[in-house]
Amino acid sequence: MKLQNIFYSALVLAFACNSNPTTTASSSNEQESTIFSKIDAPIASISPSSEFIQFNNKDGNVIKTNKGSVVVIPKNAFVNADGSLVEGEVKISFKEVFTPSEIILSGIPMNAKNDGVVQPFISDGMFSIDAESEGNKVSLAADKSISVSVPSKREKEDFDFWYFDENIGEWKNTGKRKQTVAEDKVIEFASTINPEMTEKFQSSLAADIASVTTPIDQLKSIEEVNSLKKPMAPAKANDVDFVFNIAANYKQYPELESVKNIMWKPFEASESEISTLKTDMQTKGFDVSIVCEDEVNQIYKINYGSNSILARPVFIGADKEKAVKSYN
Amino acid sequence: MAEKKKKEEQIIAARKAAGQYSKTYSMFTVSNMGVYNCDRFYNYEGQKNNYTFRNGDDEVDNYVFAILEDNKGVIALSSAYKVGDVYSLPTAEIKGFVYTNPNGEILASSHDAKNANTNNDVQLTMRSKSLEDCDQLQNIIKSL
Repeated sequence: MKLQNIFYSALVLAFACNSNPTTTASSSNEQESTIFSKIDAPIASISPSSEFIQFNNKDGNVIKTNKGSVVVIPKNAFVNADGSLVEGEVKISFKEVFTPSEIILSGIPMNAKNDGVVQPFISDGMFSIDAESEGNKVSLAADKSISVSVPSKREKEDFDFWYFDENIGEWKNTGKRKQTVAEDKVIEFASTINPEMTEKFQSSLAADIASVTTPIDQLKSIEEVNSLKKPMAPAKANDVDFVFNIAANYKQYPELESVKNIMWKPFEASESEISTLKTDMQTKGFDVSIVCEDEVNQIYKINYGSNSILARPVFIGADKEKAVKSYN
Repeated sequence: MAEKKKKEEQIIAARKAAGQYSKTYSMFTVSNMGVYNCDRFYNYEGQKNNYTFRNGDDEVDNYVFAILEDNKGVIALSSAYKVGDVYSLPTAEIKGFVYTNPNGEILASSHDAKNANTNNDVQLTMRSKSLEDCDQLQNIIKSL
């Protein structure tokens, strides 16, 4: 916490400089003084989950993570602390930080100096990577590098690549992103670094797709047969919907107990009802109760304070798949 | 060879259909273990207003995050953004605020840029008493 306070103090000067010219007179030297930051997760028990990639160092590896990044590791990439080649297995821990919630919970500092002034970052993909062998940290050999291709959401904007140097607590600019690349180019590049593992990677991709699509097809046919009798399947929230969450005790509602992270999408609600809901959510704490009005169409009445609104449960991202699983 | 190419195309088509296909990638070259980021600086030249944050009667300071519109970014509020005792923030760009505490509680507030004043005292309300995972926080952010 002490280090964090030092960081904040330094930043005060930097930003005061930016926003209020009258305060800059004595700050320029101090602004150049140590700006120390560290990875400081706000909730220690929760952080973005890591994926682990295990492989024999003599083989390297090519994998695609669950969130879509492609990691290409050349053969004999890792060395021990004494510089000797790692003989045997290497385990890489790979954590992707893409969404605002992941950025918050990662605790990774999102500021850096821009022409001497500390400014916040807008990210188009962030990750951390670490490696060990038999419980000991290992590092990349001097003549080796790993290629990591991260899905881009802002392909047309100008971005730079940065590396966070934890020793000094600062981001280092490592160069400009000239352009994003298509997946076929990523795989083409992978095959120049590690052709054998790229071929295995492509085969496993095909098997993976087959295993993913078959249950979905089965699910569709089951839905068609039972669509008149069963409640509608869990729905996914799209980007333009207004949705809200409530701090309800779902254990009181058996039909909702088994699903996690329920969001609610207003059903046939007027603009004034939605406006009232937004205002109340922002300004008041309130008791909430949920009443199922129509089980087949999944319409619930949510009572909050002296108001109520009809809404349907919806899910975001992976939660929808989990909800579908639970529904079945 | 043609068969292999065809198979690759089928794989990519299936991925696209399953929504698992990303159009393009940022390609990093990693020479050291650690944290890497594809970033640009957030520059804002427009109107800024003053903000303070409360949990009940208590003013909260650290671990307050301003969520930018369209989820394009997060500003971790620190003294860096303070002018005097208040935070100076880009009103038009903010969709809401999230406050986390070490007990895993999440408080939040939506932000109505149109009705923002020069000075805003933001009351944060409880959204989760025990955060379970990143997805739950992302849902709270989406609801702002």
